[in-house]
Amino acid sequence: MAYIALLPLLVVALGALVGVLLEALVPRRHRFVTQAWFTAAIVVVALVRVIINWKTPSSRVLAGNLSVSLDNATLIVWAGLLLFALGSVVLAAQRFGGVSSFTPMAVAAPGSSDEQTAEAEGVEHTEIFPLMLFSLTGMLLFPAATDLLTAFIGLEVLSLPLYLMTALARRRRLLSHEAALKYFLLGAFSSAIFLYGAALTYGFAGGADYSAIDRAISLGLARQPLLLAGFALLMVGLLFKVGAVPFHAWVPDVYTGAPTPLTAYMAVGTKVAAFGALIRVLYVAFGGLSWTWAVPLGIVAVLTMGLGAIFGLTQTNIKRLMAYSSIAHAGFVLVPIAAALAVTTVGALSSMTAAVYYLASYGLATLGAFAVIMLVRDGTGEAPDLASWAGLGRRHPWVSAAMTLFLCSLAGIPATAGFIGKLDAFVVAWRGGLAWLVILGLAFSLVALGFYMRIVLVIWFGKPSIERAASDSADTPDQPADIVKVPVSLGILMALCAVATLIGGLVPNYFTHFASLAGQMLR
Amino acid sequence: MPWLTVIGLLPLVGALVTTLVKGHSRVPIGFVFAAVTFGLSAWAIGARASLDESYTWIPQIGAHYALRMDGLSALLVIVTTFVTAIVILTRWKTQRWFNLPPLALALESAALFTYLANDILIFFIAFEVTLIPMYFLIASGGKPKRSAAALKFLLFSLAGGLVLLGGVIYVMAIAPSGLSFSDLSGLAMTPGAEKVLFLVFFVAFAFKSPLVPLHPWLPDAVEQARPAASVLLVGVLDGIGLYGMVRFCVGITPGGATWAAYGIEIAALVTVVYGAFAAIASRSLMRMAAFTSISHAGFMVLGLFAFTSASVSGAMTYVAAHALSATALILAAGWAVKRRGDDLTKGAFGGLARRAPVLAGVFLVSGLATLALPGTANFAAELSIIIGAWGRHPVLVAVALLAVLGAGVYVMWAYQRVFTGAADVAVDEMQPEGAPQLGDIRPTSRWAAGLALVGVIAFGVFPGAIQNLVSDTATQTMSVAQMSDPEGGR
Repeated sequence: MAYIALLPLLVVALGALVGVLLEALVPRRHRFVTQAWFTAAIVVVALVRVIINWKTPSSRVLAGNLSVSLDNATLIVWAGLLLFALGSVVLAAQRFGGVSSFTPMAVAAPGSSDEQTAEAEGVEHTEIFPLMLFSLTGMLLFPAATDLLTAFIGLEVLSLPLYLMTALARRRRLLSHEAALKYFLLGAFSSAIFLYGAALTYGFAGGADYSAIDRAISLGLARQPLLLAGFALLMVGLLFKVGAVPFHAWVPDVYTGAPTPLTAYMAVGTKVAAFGALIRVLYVAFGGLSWTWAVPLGIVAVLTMGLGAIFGLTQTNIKRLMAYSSIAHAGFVLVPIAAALAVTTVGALSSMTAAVYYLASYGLATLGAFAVIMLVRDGTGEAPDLASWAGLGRRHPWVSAAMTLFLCSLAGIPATAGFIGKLDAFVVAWRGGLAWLVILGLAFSLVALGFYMRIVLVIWFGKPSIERAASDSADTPDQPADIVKVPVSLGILMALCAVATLIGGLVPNYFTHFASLAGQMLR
Repeated sequence: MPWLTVIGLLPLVGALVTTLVKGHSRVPIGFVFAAVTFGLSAWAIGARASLDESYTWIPQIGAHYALRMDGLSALLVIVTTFVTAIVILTRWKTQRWFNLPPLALALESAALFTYLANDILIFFIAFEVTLIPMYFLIASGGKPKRSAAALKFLLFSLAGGLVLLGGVIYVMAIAPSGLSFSDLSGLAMTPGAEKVLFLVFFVAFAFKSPLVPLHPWLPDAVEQARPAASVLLVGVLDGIGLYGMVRFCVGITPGGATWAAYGIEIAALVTVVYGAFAAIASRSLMRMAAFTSISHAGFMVLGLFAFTSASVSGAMTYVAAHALSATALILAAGWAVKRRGDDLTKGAFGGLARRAPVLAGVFLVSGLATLALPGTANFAAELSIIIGAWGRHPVLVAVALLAVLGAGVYVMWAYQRVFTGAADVAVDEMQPEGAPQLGDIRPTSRWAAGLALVGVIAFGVFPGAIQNLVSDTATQTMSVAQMSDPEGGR
């Protein structure tokens, strides 16, 4: 029975394998389109399966033999992950002027004649789609795992394809390579730390199962150095994945260097999966230690919000800005998590509710923002420099209005989902007794507001600097940056993100209802 | 029909419709929406007792979608709809800046929800949403430094908003049931917590009012933005400051309000005096108008926190009177600036009255209203504040009165320097470069300014009308604060 409940994950894993097969079977001309549609279809099938699971309460099982928990929390996180993955696939499937966002030939040295030949022949790397599905498999497994080893496998399966795909940007390939190497080295290091933490915890608890750890802690062995060391190392691994300070250093470089659809995928997918896993580890395995971890986690939250918001103020590259934005938001999500407010009555506000709602609002706005980032292009590709966004509002009011809405939601301005997310998070933190965290969080919200409003100002009232484009010839493209004609799929994606952001801000009870059920975790 | 929702949403629909049409037709369409909203809200005032709305909104945190129109709400709603209609009317024949009608209507909608909300979360959301259209209004036209002024406005307002959010979160965390203002009026708190919460609320709305030293955004915004935007800023949004103080500072934390009343009176007096001196020292006509407005905001706060029946209702009526007279004054100042530049310090520059007699008349009458000439709404409201507050703090009131009158006199001096005297060549030289030779103001502008002044005078001649309107809110404010009028006063 448990295997049926696990079908969403299995479908995605199987889809990834079939996708590899498609690489061999489908002729090159049709491969990109086939892969894109196939991947989207797999994600949709998995999503339908999640909905069927949701409708059948008997499918909620703690499948101990599979080391996964298929409870409400898992299903909600899965639904979010699959939706965001679908959006990322839409981004990855875009081709502007006939070329995708990915390099034509990854093995060719950047700028070499091989690369030029490949480009001229219209070669494309379509493997990114199966790679995305592999990564998605890991993302689905990571938050559902109830065993540190299974969680580790999920972590690795989600990370390895991402390391590879980071290196596949079409433009600025050296930057992309550098980002991939940085990501790989730091990521592998943090995975090793996670594994070491798992080993120490195993040594303490006599089992890697979350419930075994919980039992061992409740036996009153909480002050064991082995436990504390193991817990701290596990946290390093998890906080690295969510991009929290002081384990955030990879985020700006990797987000800037990676191909934009992949940046979006990391910003929404990895973050949701990692937070799902973090919450389960904290509450199910280490819930008995919450007096020990609440304040340190709150301090991490403050540092993360502060550093993300303040450093973001000075950035001029829009992708780097989004990277700092994602760091800041990691801090805001940690606020309710640190408060550890358990579910008291069904449908009440809890830490999990607030975190899930926050992540959903953040994911929607971030996905939409990356869709817009892909649309702003000059002669050679995307134009991530903030200066080239100046005055877009006058020429393309609708796309700019959508971007403004996404930025407002990220900034937490009322009437958008982001506001309700922040409100829930802060109310939960206050009720959980972390008033100081709420006050600092509000202060950093103001900094973050300055951060996002600066972009809005540039978009609507910035003066396009034509002289700059005309004066130096070597670097600047022959054609100033502008929004290209919006492809239908991207238009639909942006519209859906915008509508959902508004609904989440104006009539949030549809979403808060689901989010409030997410607090129920089987342990 | 949920009429209050209709009143709130109608301008928003108007904003969408005017966004979809292009060019000059936005103005008449926008005006129709503004006028219908005005008519509808005028009708709603009569029927307001039966118009309460309340639906469950976010059950997890006890928030309701609840609207209610009491006396003070009604007054501010009618002023908001009136001023918005006037502002759109001034753009009737213009050939540029067609973004005004949609933005003004969006602003109106958010402001109406702010005044009608009966749930602190709805209030907060509407309160923050007003900032977005206002930000675009300031940033989208005017003088060269308008972007900086808009950002300054936004950051100051958002800072105030976040302080308010802190208070709202605290209230939400401790509120036993609903979040409506009546649910929260008996909120149990320790005296210490109540004092802190009061200060939080007070600071939040002092940003908005604004009180010194939280005011620097207002003069910059009024100076840099187009006059129509400045009018909306002063006439529509400034009322939120006092409204919020009534609803939050006194309504939710009455113990804190009476505890801090004397300190607040001092802060209000500082604002009155500072605003007056800053107005006198202003080199720019628009800044002068902004500083007189700040001075008046201080006077309203002084009236509210004197806690006497007369001063509280006077403070409430002053919001309306000031909105109307400031509308006329800023419009007139804006038209004068267009004809002769904004600098008050240049030498021989008088004589605009010869060229633009109607404009001169509008400026004169609105200036006299600012000076609280008997027969204007400002006089009735100011008198009410003075009579009430005199019984509590005679010295403070006397100083404040002198300062307000001083600033008013300065407005008249500005009138003298700008409008009177012989029209000489210098007037032409001071016109902004490239501007066409302008005569008097257009007929629609005359109508717009005229309507505002008719309001000022009508409420001045029949002050009872608005004082009766706000009497229920004023009485309730006094009873919540558990204050009674001082012996010998009124």
